[in-house]
Amino acid sequence: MIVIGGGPGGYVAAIRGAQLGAEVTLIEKNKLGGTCLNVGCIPTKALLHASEIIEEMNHAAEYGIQVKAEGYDWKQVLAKKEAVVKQLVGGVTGLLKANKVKVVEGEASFTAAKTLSVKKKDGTTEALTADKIIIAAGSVPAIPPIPGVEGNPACIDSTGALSLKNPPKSLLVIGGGVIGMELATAYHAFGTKVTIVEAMPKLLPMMDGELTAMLRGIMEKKGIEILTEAKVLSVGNSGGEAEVQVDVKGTKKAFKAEKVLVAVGRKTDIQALQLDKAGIRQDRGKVLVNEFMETSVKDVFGIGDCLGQIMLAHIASAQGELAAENALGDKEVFDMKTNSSCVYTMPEFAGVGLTEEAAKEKGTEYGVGNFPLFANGKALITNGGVGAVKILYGKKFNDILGVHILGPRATDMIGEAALAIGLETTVEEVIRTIHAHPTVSEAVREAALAAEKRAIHIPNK
Amino acid sequence: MSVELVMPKAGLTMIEGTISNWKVEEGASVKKGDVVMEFENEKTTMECEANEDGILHIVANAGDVVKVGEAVAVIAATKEEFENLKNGGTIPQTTAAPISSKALADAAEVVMPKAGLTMIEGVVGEWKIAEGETVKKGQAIFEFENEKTTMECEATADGILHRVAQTGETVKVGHTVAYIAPTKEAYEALAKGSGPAKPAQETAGQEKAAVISGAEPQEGNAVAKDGHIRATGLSRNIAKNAGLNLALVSGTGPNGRIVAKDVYAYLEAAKAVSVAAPAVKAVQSTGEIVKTPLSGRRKSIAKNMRKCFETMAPLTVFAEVDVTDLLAMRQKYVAKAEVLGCKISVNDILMLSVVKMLKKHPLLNSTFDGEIISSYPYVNLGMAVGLDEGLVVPVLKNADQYSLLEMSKALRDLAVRAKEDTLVGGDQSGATFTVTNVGMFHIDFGTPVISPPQVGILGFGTAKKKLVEYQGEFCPRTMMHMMLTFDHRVFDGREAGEVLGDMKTLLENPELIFV
Repeated sequence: MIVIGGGPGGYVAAIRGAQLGAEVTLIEKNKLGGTCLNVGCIPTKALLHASEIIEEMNHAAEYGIQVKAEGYDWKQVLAKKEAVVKQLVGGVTGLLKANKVKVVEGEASFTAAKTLSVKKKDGTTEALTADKIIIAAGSVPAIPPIPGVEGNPACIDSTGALSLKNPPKSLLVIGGGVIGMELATAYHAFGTKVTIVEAMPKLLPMMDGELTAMLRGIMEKKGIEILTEAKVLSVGNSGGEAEVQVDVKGTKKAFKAEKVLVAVGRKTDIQALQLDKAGIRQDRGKVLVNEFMETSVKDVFGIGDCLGQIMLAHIASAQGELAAENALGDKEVFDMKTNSSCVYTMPEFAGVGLTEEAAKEKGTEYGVGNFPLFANGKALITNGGVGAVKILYGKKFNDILGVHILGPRATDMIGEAALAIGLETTVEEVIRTIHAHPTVSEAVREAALAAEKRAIHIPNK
Repeated sequence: MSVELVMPKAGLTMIEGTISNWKVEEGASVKKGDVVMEFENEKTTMECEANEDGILHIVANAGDVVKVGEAVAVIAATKEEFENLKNGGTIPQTTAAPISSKALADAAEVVMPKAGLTMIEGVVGEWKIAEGETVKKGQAIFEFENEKTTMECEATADGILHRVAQTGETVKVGHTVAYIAPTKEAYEALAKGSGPAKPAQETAGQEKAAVISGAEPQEGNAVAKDGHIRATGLSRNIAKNAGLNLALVSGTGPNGRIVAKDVYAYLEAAKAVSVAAPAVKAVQSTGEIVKTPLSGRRKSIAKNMRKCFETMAPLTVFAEVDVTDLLAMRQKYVAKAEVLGCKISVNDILMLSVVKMLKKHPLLNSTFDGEIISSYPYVNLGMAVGLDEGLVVPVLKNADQYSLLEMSKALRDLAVRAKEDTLVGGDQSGATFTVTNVGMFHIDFGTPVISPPQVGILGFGTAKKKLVEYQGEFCPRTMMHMMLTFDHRVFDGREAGEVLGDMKTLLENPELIFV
């Protein structure tokens, strides 16, 4: 089996394939660990942890701890981030070796249906073929066709945002999606004046609207400027700074910022693959696969970001495992219903299943159970009780349709909710589950109680 | 890799099918979806499709009875695999549909045997072994009856008997009658856990119990030894809502767990099968069916009615008559009832009119034996009288010799005697023509039945006031329908029309009746 790409999709597929007895070769053109480990999830969260420490220290006096953040050593901030990345990349390298996966460093392209030509770093070319091929070529940041962005030294993408020489004095973030919101959160903590400019009426399109609005309020209160229904018209330069022309709900406004972070999304990175040589069908850069992760060519599979669908590392990994299994004799369908979305803002924001918006669009009859975190002891201690839990359930059979959590540890708590949805759990079954006290997760049980109009720790309306 | 083609389950109660014929040959190349075989179950013949592309190796032949889920063929992926299979190679294990619960693998199931090709179910008779007693394989444990005979059922293993069905219970072929537990502990678990055939124990928290299905045997595979059913919360709620016992549902989730789609699938299949059970209000019929044999009179009426349709070619023609003047004339008679000595009825006048008409149409005043028409020089007029006990037709002999007054008296006398059931034989026979006046029964018009061997019958309907054209104007007149049923073997429409025409003339110009 050949796996093209060593990110969370590719290396997981390779390890799974090896576990199932295949002889696996993994081709990586850049760094093992892909976007996620090197310029995505991991470094962002490492940076965010540093900003979280600053935030905690700003509240330390409340808890009687006399300490003041004297400042920060940005070099060390970056160094620590890099150390974490290096450790994990090293870990992946070790795992691949342990599983006897052969790693070939180079850029792969198809010459025939199951034949690849790999252009190696030293300039040589190697031809490779295998019984089964899994394409996990990943994605890169997308640059929108806004005049003045391309080639502008003030404009950076997420990769650039993780290796700035210093936190900028001011930062304008184009795009109110996950990446924009997280990097805005991180840099704000380091003292950057941050402005988020989002073209749509709503931030974080895949998240629950009500809780998103709550998060927006929290961020604005901290001093992060957020504009929605605001379209960036052009980016220019003015006295060493970037000047951004924005159409804010019909009114033209100009913003100045040291740096402009372009975070409008990502696009697939399959150009070099030359899929047409193999007859592998794609749709405007997105590799086309069926529910078994099979491409249009027998024995060739596609997973992760290069499908251009849900670009999340855990989706790539899940698809990678499945593709490896299907390549080696299984025939399982990829089921996404337990997929969670996580946003590492402060507080954290996570959701699984249907949002209210999605339920309304589907016409599903649903009920809601809400629980505010100011009524939860652990949340109160942790962040002053900021946040809420919302549970959506089917009116007819009380099955859990969606769970949305804004608050401390939301991204960890969402696992319970994902399991519940996967197991067709009902509201009463969540209620019957004893949740430890004091935890933030008992708010999930309270939200279930609230759904039945019998919450204990808030008055029921 | 080769793939097994199994006998499909074409119907909720299907346990096995008989292969009718193979549509492709041994070794033929087939494509997924091709019809390869036809099979029969108790209800119907169906087609079986190939479930993969490949080369067909037939395992069960035409005429073979194969259990649902067992292989009828193997579709080899390559020629080599096919050759291997043909030469007796093993069929690769595919994930076959679960046939019995893994949790019950310990206990041996004793099912209602199929003692006869057409046997669908049996009634459990006498139990030969007590509950909890040890049995040996081959020992007779209970008796059962099918439509034809009583038979014994033997133990399929050594062990301790746990009875599930009771004496008198009807159990479908292949469904559980008892279990034989291999050990005392296994037996205790079976007996204590109230067994899978009884309603499932709901887990704590469910307030209402699942619907008890009584003698309904277990079909699902998600029931554990202790009676607990492996099912998700959602599937339980769906089943509860539908009043469905989860023990009947086969689970396709992990370890045979029942998931929502399994319950939905079961409910869909149940809906498709229960054709005769519409989801309407369940009405309990109360009371008994009342059975009444035909009385002699009824039998006779029935015979005559039948005879008319069997031997004749009856046809009815209709006409509407303006009886305003006739009724006015009758009123005059009524006004003079004292002078006349009796009250003349409309029927009297109608009967007299018929007699006059018949004199003009001797062919109608006849009988026909299939060969010869006998026309009579006299009119014996039958008058249909509807009594509680049935239709009676007293006959006024020589009606053509009566005046209106005499006829009125005579008809009244006949009617009274008919009601009092004092008519003698001669009173009810010999009619040459019959009149049936159904006006008092709110009948506008109808198709009276000729009494053989007569060749016609004239009926009169209810009189009604209507707006009709009369002497160039539209004015309210009292109208009444006449209906003449005639035997088309003897007459044609033309003569019938003439008869009605003459009747119309008489009734609309009643003075002509007496001329």
